[in-house]
Amino acid sequence: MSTQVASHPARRLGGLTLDPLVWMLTLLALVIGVSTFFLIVVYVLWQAAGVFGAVSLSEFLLFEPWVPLAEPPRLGILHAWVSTVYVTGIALLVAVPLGIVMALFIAEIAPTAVRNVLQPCLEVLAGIPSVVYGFFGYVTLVVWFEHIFDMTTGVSILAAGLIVAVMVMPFIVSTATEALDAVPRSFRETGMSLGVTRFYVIRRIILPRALPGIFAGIVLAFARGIGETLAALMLAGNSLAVPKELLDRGQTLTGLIATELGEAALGTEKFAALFAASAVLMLLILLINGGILLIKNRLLRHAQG
Amino acid sequence: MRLLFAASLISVSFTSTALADDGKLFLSGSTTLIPIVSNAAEAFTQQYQTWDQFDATLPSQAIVIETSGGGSGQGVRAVLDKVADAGMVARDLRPQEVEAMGDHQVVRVGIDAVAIAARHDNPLHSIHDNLDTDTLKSIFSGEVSRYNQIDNNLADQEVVLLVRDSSAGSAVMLQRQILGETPVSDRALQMSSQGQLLRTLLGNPFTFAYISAGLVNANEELKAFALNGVAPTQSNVVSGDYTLARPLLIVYQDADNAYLDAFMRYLLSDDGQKVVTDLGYIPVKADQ
Repeated sequence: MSTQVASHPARRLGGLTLDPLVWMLTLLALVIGVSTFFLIVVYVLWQAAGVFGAVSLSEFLLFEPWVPLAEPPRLGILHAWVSTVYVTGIALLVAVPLGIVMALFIAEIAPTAVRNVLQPCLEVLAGIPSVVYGFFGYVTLVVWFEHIFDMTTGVSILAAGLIVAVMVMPFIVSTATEALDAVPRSFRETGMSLGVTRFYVIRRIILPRALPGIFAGIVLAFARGIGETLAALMLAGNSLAVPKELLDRGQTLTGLIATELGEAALGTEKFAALFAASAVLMLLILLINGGILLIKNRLLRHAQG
Repeated sequence: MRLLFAASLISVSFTSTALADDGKLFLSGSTTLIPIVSNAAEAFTQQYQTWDQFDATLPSQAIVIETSGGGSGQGVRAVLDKVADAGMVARDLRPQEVEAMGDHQVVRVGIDAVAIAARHDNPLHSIHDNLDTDTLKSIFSGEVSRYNQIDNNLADQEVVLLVRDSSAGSAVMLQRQILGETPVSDRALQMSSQGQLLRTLLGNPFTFAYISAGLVNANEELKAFALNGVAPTQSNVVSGDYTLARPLLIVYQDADNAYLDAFMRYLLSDDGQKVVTDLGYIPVKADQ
Protein backbone atom coordinates (compact mmCIF):
# COMPACT_ATOMS: atom_id res chain seq x y z
CA MET A 1 0.00 0.00 0.00
CA SER A 2 2.71 2.43 1.00
CA THR A 3 4.75 1.63 -2.09
CA GLN A 4 1.69 2.34 -4.25
CA VAL A 5 1.18 5.70 -2.65
CA ALA A 6 4.87 6.40 -3.04
CA SER A 7 4.79 5.57 -6.74
CA HIS A 8 1.70 7.76 -7.30
CA PRO A 9 2.36 10.73 -5.07
CA ALA A 10 -0.53 12.73 -6.51
CA ARG A 11 -3.41 10.31 -7.21
CA ARG A 12 -6.25 12.20 -8.70
CA LEU A 13 -9.97 11.59 -8.85
CA GLY A 14 -11.76 13.85 -11.32
CA GLY A 15 -9.20 16.57 -10.90
CA LEU A 16 -9.20 16.37 -7.10
CA THR A 17 -6.36 15.06 -5.01
CA LEU A 18 -7.54 12.21 -2.84
CA ASP A 19 -5.81 13.43 0.29
CA PRO A 20 -8.27 16.16 1.32
CA LEU A 21 -11.16 13.76 0.66
CA VAL A 22 -9.69 11.11 2.95
CA TRP A 23 -8.96 13.80 5.49
CA MET A 24 -12.57 14.97 5.39
CA LEU A 25 -14.01 11.45 5.59
CA THR A 26 -11.92 10.54 8.61
CA LEU A 27 -12.83 13.82 10.26
CA LEU A 28 -16.50 13.13 9.55
CA ALA A 29 -16.23 9.68 11.13
CA LEU A 30 -14.57 11.22 14.17
CA VAL A 31 -17.23 13.92 14.46
CA ILE A 32 -20.06 11.37 14.19
CA GLY A 33 -18.46 9.14 16.83
CA VAL A 34 -17.65 11.86 19.30
CA SER A 35 -20.89 13.79 18.81
CA THR A 36 -22.92 10.61 19.44
CA PHE A 37 -21.19 10.31 22.80
CA PHE A 38 -21.87 13.95 23.68
CA LEU A 39 -25.43 13.72 22.41
CA ILE A 40 -26.12 10.77 24.71
CA VAL A 41 -24.57 12.51 27.71
CA VAL A 42 -26.44 15.76 27.05
CA TYR A 43 -29.73 13.97 26.39
CA VAL A 44 -29.49 11.87 29.56
CA LEU A 45 -28.64 14.93 31.68
CA TRP A 46 -31.43 16.94 30.03
CA GLN A 47 -34.04 14.21 30.72
CA ALA A 48 -32.67 13.67 34.23
CA ALA A 49 -33.03 17.33 35.19
CA GLY A 50 -36.82 16.88 35.55
CA VAL A 51 -36.41 14.82 38.71
CA PHE A 52 -35.17 17.78 40.72
CA GLY A 53 -38.62 19.32 40.67
CA ALA A 54 -39.64 16.42 42.93
CA VAL A 55 -36.59 15.68 45.07
CA SER A 56 -33.32 17.38 45.93
CA LEU A 57 -30.00 15.84 44.92
CA SER A 58 -29.22 14.64 48.45
CA GLU A 59 -32.69 13.11 48.85
CA PHE A 60 -32.35 11.40 45.48
CA LEU A 61 -28.93 9.95 46.23
CA LEU A 62 -29.05 9.34 49.96
CA PHE A 63 -32.26 9.72 51.87
CA GLU A 64 -35.42 8.78 49.96
CA PRO A 65 -36.56 5.19 49.36
CA TRP A 66 -37.82 4.10 45.92
CA VAL A 67 -41.63 4.00 46.23
CA PRO A 68 -43.07 5.17 42.89
CA LEU A 69 -46.60 4.11 43.91
CA ALA A 70 -46.71 6.48 46.91
CA GLU A 71 -48.66 9.74 46.62
CA PRO A 72 -46.63 11.75 45.74
CA PRO A 73 -44.06 9.26 44.39
CA ARG A 74 -40.91 8.88 46.49
CA LEU A 75 -37.87 8.66 44.25
CA GLY A 76 -34.53 7.77 45.82
CA ILE A 77 -31.85 5.48 44.43
CA LEU A 78 -29.60 4.85 47.44
CA HIS A 79 -30.38 1.13 47.32
CA ALA A 80 -29.51 0.95 43.62
CA TRP A 81 -26.14 2.64 43.55
CA VAL A 82 -25.04 0.85 46.73
CA SER A 83 -26.05 -2.47 45.12
CA THR A 84 -24.16 -1.59 41.95
CA VAL A 85 -21.01 -0.73 43.91
CA TYR A 86 -21.33 -3.98 45.90
CA VAL A 87 -21.91 -6.26 42.91
CA THR A 88 -19.18 -4.68 40.77
CA GLY A 89 -16.81 -4.55 43.75
CA ILE A 90 -17.28 -8.25 44.57
CA ALA A 91 -16.90 -9.14 40.89
CA LEU A 92 -13.61 -7.26 40.52
CA LEU A 93 -12.20 -8.44 43.86
CA VAL A 94 -12.70 -12.02 42.73
CA ALA A 95 -11.98 -11.69 39.02
CA VAL A 96 -8.87 -9.47 39.04
CA PRO A 97 -6.51 -11.65 41.14
CA LEU A 98 -7.84 -14.88 39.63
CA GLY A 99 -7.70 -13.44 36.12
CA ILE A 100 -4.09 -12.26 36.46
CA VAL A 101 -2.98 -15.60 37.88
CA MET A 102 -4.76 -17.41 35.03
CA ALA A 103 -3.10 -15.11 32.49
CA LEU A 104 0.32 -15.81 34.06
CA PHE A 105 -0.29 -19.52 33.80
CA ILE A 106 -1.37 -19.29 30.16
CA ALA A 107 1.38 -16.91 29.06
CA GLU A 108 4.33 -18.07 31.15
CA ILE A 109 3.85 -21.57 32.45
CA ALA A 110 1.45 -23.63 30.36
CA PRO A 111 2.87 -25.73 27.50
CA THR A 112 1.67 -24.65 24.06
CA ALA A 113 -0.76 -27.57 23.78
CA VAL A 114 -2.54 -26.62 27.01
CA ARG A 115 -2.55 -22.98 26.02
CA ASN A 116 -4.15 -23.81 22.68
CA VAL A 117 -7.06 -25.39 24.54
CA LEU A 118 -7.39 -22.84 27.35
CA GLN A 119 -7.43 -19.68 25.27
CA PRO A 120 -10.35 -20.57 22.96
CA CYS A 121 -12.28 -21.78 26.02
CA LEU A 122 -11.91 -18.38 27.66
CA GLU A 123 -12.91 -16.61 24.46
CA VAL A 124 -16.09 -18.67 24.28
CA LEU A 125 -16.75 -17.82 27.94
CA ALA A 126 -16.70 -14.13 26.99
CA GLY A 127 -19.31 -14.71 24.29
CA ILE A 128 -21.96 -16.47 26.38
CA PRO A 129 -25.10 -14.28 26.67
CA SER A 130 -25.72 -12.85 30.12
CA VAL A 131 -29.16 -14.44 30.40
CA VAL A 132 -27.44 -17.84 30.24
CA TYR A 133 -25.08 -16.83 33.05
CA GLY A 134 -28.03 -15.52 35.02
CA PHE A 135 -30.01 -18.71 34.58
CA PHE A 136 -26.97 -20.86 35.34
CA GLY A 137 -26.40 -18.91 38.55
CA TYR A 138 -30.05 -19.20 39.44
CA VAL A 139 -30.14 -22.99 39.25
CA THR A 140 -26.70 -23.63 40.79
CA LEU A 141 -25.30 -20.86 42.97
CA VAL A 142 -28.65 -19.76 44.39
CA VAL A 143 -29.54 -23.34 45.34
CA TRP A 144 -26.12 -23.92 46.92
CA PHE A 145 -26.47 -20.73 48.93
CA GLU A 146 -29.79 -21.97 50.27
CA HIS A 147 -28.07 -25.14 51.53
CA ILE A 148 -24.74 -23.69 52.68
CA PHE A 149 -25.98 -20.53 54.38
CA ASP A 150 -29.38 -21.95 55.37
CA MET A 151 -31.17 -19.16 53.51
CA THR A 152 -34.87 -19.30 52.64
CA THR A 153 -33.97 -17.98 49.20
CA GLY A 154 -30.41 -17.79 47.93
CA VAL A 155 -30.72 -14.75 45.68
CA SER A 156 -28.30 -12.17 47.04
CA ILE A 157 -25.73 -9.51 46.25
CA LEU A 158 -23.00 -12.13 46.71
CA ALA A 159 -24.58 -14.52 44.19
CA ALA A 160 -24.85 -11.72 41.65
CA GLY A 161 -21.28 -10.54 42.33
CA LEU A 162 -19.81 -14.04 41.89
CA ILE A 163 -21.58 -14.67 38.59
CA VAL A 164 -20.58 -11.24 37.27
CA ALA A 165 -17.00 -12.12 38.33
CA VAL A 166 -17.11 -15.19 36.08
CA MET A 167 -18.53 -13.02 33.28
CA VAL A 168 -15.78 -10.39 33.41
CA MET A 169 -12.87 -12.79 34.05
CA PRO A 170 -12.27 -13.61 30.33
CA PHE A 171 -11.75 -9.91 29.58
CA ILE A 172 -9.01 -9.67 32.21
CA VAL A 173 -7.37 -12.97 31.24
CA SER A 174 -7.22 -12.33 27.49
CA THR A 175 -6.00 -8.73 27.81
CA ALA A 176 -3.45 -9.67 30.47
CA THR A 177 -2.23 -12.65 28.42
CA GLU A 178 -1.63 -10.37 25.45
CA ALA A 179 0.20 -7.89 27.65
CA LEU A 180 2.42 -10.64 29.07
CA ASP A 181 3.12 -11.98 25.58
CA ALA A 182 4.21 -8.54 24.49
CA VAL A 183 7.11 -8.51 26.96
CA PRO A 184 10.19 -9.33 24.82
CA ARG A 185 11.51 -12.87 25.11
CA SER A 186 15.04 -11.58 25.72
CA PHE A 187 13.94 -10.16 29.10
CA ARG A 188 13.04 -13.62 30.36
CA GLU A 189 16.19 -15.16 28.95
CA THR A 190 18.39 -12.49 30.47
CA GLY A 191 16.70 -12.94 33.84
CA MET A 192 17.00 -16.71 33.75
CA SER A 193 20.63 -16.53 32.70
CA LEU A 194 21.36 -14.53 35.83
CA GLY A 195 20.27 -17.54 37.83
CA VAL A 196 17.10 -16.19 39.48
CA THR A 197 13.94 -18.29 39.82
CA ARG A 198 11.08 -18.24 37.34
CA PHE A 199 8.89 -16.69 40.04
CA TYR A 200 11.41 -13.86 40.46
CA VAL A 201 11.47 -13.22 36.71
CA ILE A 202 7.67 -13.07 36.61
CA ARG A 203 7.37 -10.90 39.70
CA ARG A 204 10.19 -8.42 39.12
CA ILE A 205 10.65 -8.30 35.35
CA ILE A 206 7.57 -9.41 33.45
CA LEU A 207 4.65 -8.23 35.61
CA PRO A 208 5.82 -4.60 35.90
CA ARG A 209 6.33 -4.47 32.13
CA ALA A 210 2.87 -5.91 31.44
CA LEU A 211 1.13 -3.70 34.00
CA PRO A 212 -0.36 -1.10 31.61
CA GLY A 213 -1.97 -3.87 29.54
CA ILE A 214 -3.30 -5.60 32.64
CA PHE A 215 -4.88 -2.35 33.81
CA ALA A 216 -6.55 -1.94 30.42
CA GLY A 217 -8.10 -5.37 31.03
CA ILE A 218 -9.32 -4.34 34.47
CA VAL A 219 -10.94 -1.19 33.07
CA LEU A 220 -12.64 -3.29 30.39
CA ALA A 221 -13.86 -5.81 32.97
CA PHE A 222 -15.13 -3.05 35.22
CA ALA A 223 -17.12 -1.48 32.38
CA ARG A 224 -18.60 -4.87 31.49
CA GLY A 225 -19.45 -5.62 35.11
CA ILE A 226 -21.05 -2.31 36.06
CA GLY A 227 -23.20 -2.35 32.94
CA GLU A 228 -24.29 -5.96 33.43
CA THR A 229 -28.06 -5.97 33.72
CA LEU A 230 -29.78 -9.28 33.25
CA ALA A 231 -27.65 -11.59 35.38
CA ALA A 232 -27.55 -9.06 38.22
CA LEU A 233 -31.30 -8.61 37.93
CA MET A 234 -31.97 -12.34 38.14
CA LEU A 235 -29.56 -13.04 41.00
CA ALA A 236 -29.54 -9.98 43.27
CA GLY A 237 -33.22 -10.40 44.11
CA ASN A 238 -34.41 -7.19 42.45
CA SER A 239 -35.39 -5.94 45.93
CA LEU A 240 -35.60 -2.31 46.98
CA ALA A 241 -33.63 -2.81 50.21
CA VAL A 242 -30.27 -1.11 50.73
CA PRO A 243 -27.83 -4.04 51.02
CA LYS A 244 -25.60 -4.02 54.10
CA GLU A 245 -24.17 -7.53 54.17
CA LEU A 246 -23.05 -9.78 51.32
CA LEU A 247 -26.07 -12.06 51.66
CA ASP A 248 -28.59 -9.20 51.60
CA ARG A 249 -30.74 -8.62 48.56
CA GLY A 250 -30.59 -5.55 46.34
CA GLN A 251 -31.22 -4.08 42.93
CA THR A 252 -28.48 -2.60 40.75
CA LEU A 253 -28.89 0.70 38.88
CA THR A 254 -29.16 -1.20 35.62
CA GLY A 255 -31.72 -3.53 37.19
CA LEU A 256 -33.77 -0.58 38.43
CA ILE A 257 -33.80 1.03 35.00
CA ALA A 258 -34.65 -2.22 33.21
CA THR A 259 -37.45 -3.05 35.66
CA GLU A 260 -39.14 0.33 35.72
CA LEU A 261 -38.52 2.01 32.37
CA GLY A 262 -40.87 -0.18 30.33
CA GLU A 263 -44.03 1.31 31.80
CA ALA A 264 -42.79 4.71 32.99
CA ALA A 265 -44.91 7.34 31.28
CA LEU A 266 -43.07 9.94 29.23
CA GLY A 267 -42.57 13.25 31.03
CA THR A 268 -43.32 11.95 34.53
CA GLU A 269 -40.99 12.39 37.50
CA LYS A 270 -40.42 8.62 37.59
CA PHE A 271 -39.23 8.75 33.98
CA ALA A 272 -36.85 11.59 34.84
CA ALA A 273 -35.65 9.69 37.93
CA LEU A 274 -34.69 6.70 35.77
CA PHE A 275 -32.67 8.98 33.50
CA ALA A 276 -31.07 10.49 36.59
CA ALA A 277 -30.17 6.93 37.65
CA SER A 278 -28.48 6.52 34.24
CA ALA A 279 -26.58 9.75 34.85
CA VAL A 280 -25.42 8.44 38.22
CA LEU A 281 -24.28 5.23 36.53
CA MET A 282 -22.26 7.21 33.99
CA LEU A 283 -20.75 9.31 36.76
CA LEU A 284 -19.81 6.19 38.73
CA ILE A 285 -18.09 4.75 35.66
CA LEU A 286 -16.22 8.01 35.10
CA LEU A 287 -15.11 8.23 38.73
CA ILE A 288 -14.01 4.63 39.09
CA ASN A 289 -12.30 4.53 35.69
CA GLY A 290 -10.46 7.70 36.69
CA GLY A 291 -9.48 6.05 39.96
CA ILE A 292 -8.16 2.95 38.20
CA LEU A 293 -6.09 5.11 35.79
CA LEU A 294 -4.68 7.05 38.74
CA ILE A 295 -3.57 3.85 40.47
CA LYS A 296 -2.08 2.64 37.19
CA ASN A 297 0.00 5.80 36.80
CA ARG A 298 1.19 5.58 40.40
CA LEU A 299 2.21 1.94 39.99
CA LEU A 300 3.94 2.65 36.68
CA ARG A 301 6.00 5.43 38.15
CA HIS A 302 6.84 3.16 41.06
CA ALA A 303 7.77 0.29 38.75
CA GLN A 304 9.97 2.40 36.54
CA GLY A 305 11.55 4.53 39.23
CA MET B 1 -36.36 7.12 3.53
CA ARG B 2 -37.65 3.72 4.58
CA LEU B 3 -38.60 5.23 7.91
CA LEU B 4 -40.63 7.92 6.19
CA PHE B 5 -42.36 5.32 4.08
CA ALA B 6 -43.23 3.25 7.15
CA ALA B 7 -44.52 6.34 8.93
CA SER B 8 -46.80 7.22 6.04
CA LEU B 9 -48.11 3.64 5.94
CA ILE B 10 -48.98 3.84 9.62
CA SER B 11 -50.81 7.13 9.23
CA VAL B 12 -52.74 5.85 6.22
CA SER B 13 -53.86 2.69 7.99
CA PHE B 14 -54.65 4.71 11.10
CA THR B 15 -57.02 7.13 9.38
CA SER B 16 -58.67 4.46 7.27
CA THR B 17 -59.38 2.07 10.15
CA ALA B 18 -60.99 4.66 12.38
CA LEU B 19 -64.74 4.36 12.09
CA ALA B 20 -64.70 3.48 8.41
CA ASP B 21 -67.24 1.10 6.92
CA ASP B 22 -64.66 -1.24 5.41
CA GLY B 23 -64.68 -4.20 7.79
CA LYS B 24 -61.84 -2.87 9.91
CA LEU B 25 -61.92 -2.33 13.66
CA PHE B 26 -59.40 -0.37 15.68
CA LEU B 27 -59.24 -0.67 19.48
CA SER B 28 -56.97 1.40 21.65
CA GLY B 29 -56.16 1.62 25.37
CA SER B 30 -55.05 -0.65 28.22
CA THR B 31 -52.01 -2.85 27.57
CA THR B 32 -53.57 -5.45 29.89
CA LEU B 33 -56.40 -5.95 27.40
CA ILE B 34 -54.25 -6.03 24.26
CA PRO B 35 -53.36 -9.75 24.54
CA ILE B 36 -57.04 -10.63 25.08
CA VAL B 37 -58.29 -8.59 22.14
CA SER B 38 -55.47 -9.46 19.76
CA ASN B 39 -55.54 -13.20 20.58
CA ALA B 40 -59.32 -13.23 20.22
CA ALA B 41 -59.07 -11.24 16.99
CA GLU B 42 -56.56 -13.70 15.60
CA ALA B 43 -58.74 -16.71 16.42
CA PHE B 44 -61.81 -14.88 15.11
CA THR B 45 -60.13 -13.91 11.84
CA GLN B 46 -58.78 -17.42 11.27
CA GLN B 47 -62.13 -19.02 11.93
CA TYR B 48 -64.31 -16.69 9.87
CA GLN B 49 -62.10 -14.59 7.54
CA THR B 50 -64.98 -12.41 6.34
CA TRP B 51 -67.70 -10.81 8.47
CA ASP B 52 -70.62 -12.48 6.66
CA GLN B 53 -69.33 -15.91 7.66
CA PHE B 54 -69.80 -14.98 11.32
CA ASP B 55 -73.13 -13.22 10.78
CA ALA B 56 -74.92 -13.50 7.42
CA THR B 57 -76.46 -10.02 7.79
CA LEU B 58 -72.99 -8.41 7.61
CA PRO B 59 -71.18 -7.50 4.37
CA SER B 60 -68.55 -9.90 3.03
CA GLN B 61 -65.67 -7.64 3.99
CA ALA B 62 -62.42 -9.19 5.24
CA ILE B 63 -62.09 -9.09 9.02
CA VAL B 64 -59.29 -6.77 10.13
CA ILE B 65 -58.96 -5.96 13.84
CA GLU B 66 -56.08 -3.82 15.08
CA THR B 67 -55.04 -2.71 18.55
CA SER B 68 -52.76 -0.14 20.06
CA GLY B 69 -51.65 0.51 23.65
CA GLY B 70 -51.33 3.64 25.72
CA GLY B 71 -53.25 2.86 28.90
CA SER B 72 -56.86 2.86 30.06
CA GLY B 73 -57.21 6.65 30.12
CA GLN B 74 -55.88 6.85 26.59
CA GLY B 75 -58.52 4.27 25.54
CA VAL B 76 -61.34 6.53 26.72
CA ARG B 77 -59.73 9.57 25.09
CA ALA B 78 -59.38 7.70 21.78
CA VAL B 79 -63.13 7.00 21.80
CA LEU B 80 -63.95 10.62 22.67
CA ASP B 81 -61.61 11.90 19.93
CA LYS B 82 -63.10 9.36 17.52
CA VAL B 83 -59.69 8.00 16.52
CA ALA B 84 -60.61 4.46 17.63
CA ASP B 85 -63.77 2.40 17.25
CA ALA B 86 -63.55 1.28 20.86
CA GLY B 87 -61.43 1.83 23.94
CA MET B 88 -59.94 -0.89 26.15
CA VAL B 89 -60.17 0.02 29.84
CA ALA B 90 -58.81 -2.17 32.67
CA ARG B 91 -60.60 -0.45 35.55
CA ASP B 92 -64.00 0.99 36.43
CA LEU B 93 -64.85 4.10 34.42
CA ARG B 94 -64.38 7.33 36.35
CA PRO B 95 -67.50 9.51 36.81
CA GLN B 96 -66.05 12.29 34.64
CA GLU B 97 -65.32 9.76 31.86
CA VAL B 98 -68.89 8.46 32.00
CA GLU B 99 -70.15 12.03 31.81
CA ALA B 100 -67.85 12.98 28.93
CA MET B 101 -68.87 9.99 26.84
CA GLY B 102 -72.59 10.58 27.25
CA ASP B 103 -74.50 7.83 25.46
CA HIS B 104 -72.10 4.88 25.37
CA GLN B 105 -71.79 1.11 25.60
CA VAL B 106 -69.69 -0.81 28.12
CA VAL B 107 -68.92 -4.50 27.60
CA ARG B 108 -67.25 -6.41 30.39
CA VAL B 109 -65.20 -9.12 28.65
CA GLY B 110 -63.35 -10.48 31.66
CA ILE B 111 -62.11 -9.76 35.16
CA ASP B 112 -58.53 -9.45 36.36
CA ALA B 113 -58.72 -10.86 39.87
CA VAL B 114 -55.66 -10.99 42.09
CA ALA B 115 -55.35 -13.91 44.48
CA ILE B 116 -53.10 -14.14 47.52
CA ALA B 117 -51.46 -17.51 47.05
CA ALA B 118 -48.67 -19.88 48.01
CA ARG B 119 -47.74 -23.49 47.44
CA HIS B 120 -49.78 -26.17 49.22
CA ASP B 121 -46.84 -26.91 51.52
CA ASN B 122 -46.41 -23.26 52.56
CA PRO B 123 -46.43 -23.12 56.40
CA LEU B 124 -49.24 -20.57 56.48
CA HIS B 125 -51.65 -22.94 54.73
CA SER B 126 -51.44 -25.31 57.72
CA ILE B 127 -53.13 -22.81 60.05
CA HIS B 128 -55.05 -20.35 57.85
CA ASP B 129 -57.15 -20.56 54.75
CA ASN B 130 -58.37 -17.01 55.23
CA LEU B 131 -56.44 -13.77 55.71
CA ASP B 132 -57.89 -10.40 56.62
CA THR B 133 -56.73 -7.06 55.26
CA ASP B 134 -54.73 -6.19 58.42
CA THR B 135 -52.79 -9.48 58.44
CA LEU B 136 -52.04 -9.11 54.73
CA LYS B 137 -50.92 -5.55 55.27
CA SER B 138 -48.51 -6.57 58.04
CA ILE B 139 -47.07 -9.32 55.81
CA PHE B 140 -46.70 -7.32 52.59
CA SER B 141 -45.34 -4.24 54.39
CA GLY B 142 -42.63 -6.42 55.98
CA GLU B 143 -43.85 -5.69 59.53
CA VAL B 144 -43.82 -9.45 60.10
CA SER B 145 -41.13 -11.10 58.04
CA ARG B 146 -40.85 -14.65 59.41
CA TYR B 147 -43.45 -17.39 59.63
CA ASN B 148 -42.96 -17.87 63.37
CA GLN B 149 -43.79 -14.18 63.87
CA ILE B 150 -47.22 -14.80 62.33
CA ASP B 151 -47.75 -17.85 64.54
CA ASN B 152 -45.41 -19.34 67.17
CA ASN B 153 -45.92 -22.87 65.92
CA LEU B 154 -44.73 -22.14 62.41
CA ALA B 155 -41.22 -22.67 61.07
CA ASP B 156 -38.50 -20.09 61.70
CA GLN B 157 -38.22 -19.23 58.01
CA GLU B 158 -38.38 -15.96 56.13
CA VAL B 159 -41.65 -15.07 54.40
CA VAL B 160 -40.20 -14.55 50.91
CA LEU B 161 -42.50 -11.99 49.32
CA LEU B 162 -42.89 -12.02 45.55
CA VAL B 163 -44.34 -8.82 44.11
CA ARG B 164 -44.74 -7.28 40.68
CA ASP B 165 -42.85 -4.12 39.78
CA SER B 166 -44.72 -0.89 40.43
CA SER B 167 -46.03 -0.56 36.88
CA ALA B 168 -48.16 -3.73 37.04
CA GLY B 169 -51.92 -3.38 37.47
CA SER B 170 -51.93 -5.95 40.27
CA ALA B 171 -49.26 -3.98 42.19
CA VAL B 172 -51.39 -0.85 41.98
CA MET B 173 -54.47 -2.79 43.14
CA LEU B 174 -52.67 -4.27 46.16
CA GLN B 175 -51.24 -0.86 47.05
CA ARG B 176 -54.62 0.87 46.94
CA GLN B 177 -56.80 -1.81 48.49
CA ILE B 178 -54.55 -3.50 51.04
CA LEU B 179 -51.54 -1.34 51.85
CA GLY B 180 -52.89 2.17 51.49
CA GLU B 181 -50.10 4.59 52.39
CA THR B 182 -47.64 1.91 53.57
CA PRO B 183 -45.02 0.89 51.01
CA VAL B 184 -44.37 -2.75 50.09
CA SER B 185 -41.52 -4.34 52.07
CA ASP B 186 -38.18 -3.43 50.54
CA ARG B 187 -37.03 -7.03 50.94
CA ALA B 188 -39.67 -8.32 48.53
CA LEU B 189 -38.42 -9.86 45.29
CA GLN B 190 -39.71 -7.85 42.36
CA MET B 191 -40.78 -9.92 39.38
CA SER B 192 -41.02 -8.39 35.94
CA SER B 193 -43.80 -10.67 34.64
CA GLN B 194 -46.60 -12.97 35.81
CA GLY B 195 -44.75 -15.90 34.25
CA GLN B 196 -41.57 -15.24 36.20
CA LEU B 197 -43.60 -14.77 39.38
CA LEU B 198 -45.43 -18.08 38.83
CA ARG B 199 -42.18 -20.00 38.25
CA THR B 200 -40.56 -18.54 41.36
CA LEU B 201 -43.67 -19.18 43.46
CA LEU B 202 -43.74 -22.82 42.34
CA GLY B 203 -40.03 -23.22 43.07
CA ASN B 204 -39.99 -22.43 46.79
CA PRO B 205 -42.47 -23.41 49.54
CA PHE B 206 -41.68 -20.31 51.62
CA THR B 207 -42.62 -17.79 48.92
CA PHE B 208 -45.84 -15.82 49.32
CA ALA B 209 -47.33 -13.71 46.56
CA TYR B 210 -50.23 -12.02 44.85
CA ILE B 211 -50.90 -13.35 41.37
CA SER B 212 -53.69 -13.56 38.78
CA ALA B 213 -56.47 -15.69 40.26
CA GLY B 214 -56.84 -17.54 36.96
CA LEU B 215 -53.25 -18.79 37.21
CA VAL B 216 -53.80 -20.06 40.75
CA ASN B 217 -57.03 -21.83 39.86
CA ALA B 218 -55.33 -23.50 36.88
CA ASN B 219 -52.39 -24.70 38.93
CA GLU B 220 -52.85 -27.63 41.30
CA GLU B 221 -49.63 -27.00 43.23
CA LEU B 222 -50.87 -23.58 44.33
CA LYS B 223 -53.61 -22.68 46.76
CA ALA B 224 -55.20 -19.28 47.22
CA PHE B 225 -56.09 -17.73 50.56
CA ALA B 226 -59.55 -16.30 51.06
CA LEU B 227 -59.53 -12.55 51.58
CA ASN B 228 -61.72 -11.36 54.48
CA GLY B 229 -63.66 -14.60 54.28
CA VAL B 230 -64.22 -14.59 50.51
CA ALA B 231 -62.32 -17.06 48.34
CA PRO B 232 -61.26 -15.90 44.84
CA THR B 233 -63.46 -18.44 43.08
CA GLN B 234 -64.99 -17.85 39.68
CA SER B 235 -68.45 -17.11 41.08
CA ASN B 236 -67.22 -14.83 43.90
CA VAL B 237 -65.17 -12.80 41.44
CA VAL B 238 -67.98 -12.46 38.89
CA SER B 239 -70.52 -11.54 41.59
CA GLY B 240 -68.16 -8.86 42.91
CA ASP B 241 -67.96 -10.35 46.41
CA TYR B 242 -64.21 -10.86 45.98
CA THR B 243 -62.94 -7.30 45.93
CA LEU B 244 -59.27 -7.56 44.90
CA ALA B 245 -60.25 -7.41 41.23
CA ARG B 246 -60.74 -5.02 38.36
CA PRO B 247 -63.03 -5.29 35.35
CA LEU B 248 -61.67 -5.59 31.81
CA LEU B 249 -63.92 -3.35 29.74
CA ILE B 250 -64.45 -2.40 26.14
CA VAL B 251 -66.20 0.94 25.76
CA TYR B 252 -67.59 2.60 22.65
CA GLN B 253 -70.04 5.30 21.63
CA ASP B 254 -71.20 4.13 18.22
CA ALA B 255 -73.93 1.61 19.07
CA ASP B 256 -74.72 1.17 15.33
CA ASN B 257 -71.30 -0.24 14.45
CA ALA B 258 -72.38 -3.73 13.39
CA TYR B 259 -68.81 -5.04 13.10
CA LEU B 260 -68.04 -3.99 16.66
CA ASP B 261 -71.28 -5.54 17.84
CA ALA B 262 -70.36 -8.81 16.13
CA PHE B 263 -66.86 -8.86 17.65
CA MET B 264 -68.31 -8.19 21.12
CA ARG B 265 -70.68 -11.15 20.65
CA TYR B 266 -67.64 -13.26 19.73
CA LEU B 267 -65.68 -12.08 22.81
CA LEU B 268 -68.57 -13.10 25.05
CA SER B 269 -69.06 -16.45 23.28
CA ASP B 270 -67.45 -19.66 24.60
CA ASP B 271 -64.57 -19.27 22.11
CA GLY B 272 -63.93 -15.67 23.13
CA GLN B 273 -64.16 -16.40 26.85
CA LYS B 274 -61.67 -19.26 26.42
CA VAL B 275 -59.10 -16.69 25.28
CA VAL B 276 -59.76 -14.74 28.50
CA THR B 277 -59.35 -17.89 30.62
CA ASP B 278 -56.19 -19.00 28.80
CA LEU B 279 -54.52 -15.70 29.65
CA GLY B 280 -55.16 -16.21 33.37
CA TYR B 281 -58.14 -13.87 33.70
CA ILE B 282 -61.59 -14.69 35.00
CA PRO B 283 -64.29 -15.05 32.32
CA VAL B 284 -67.51 -13.13 32.96
CA LYS B 285 -69.87 -16.03 32.39
CA ALA B 286 -70.31 -17.90 35.69
CA ASP B 287 -70.71 -21.30 33.98
CA GLN B 288 -67.27 -21.16 32.32
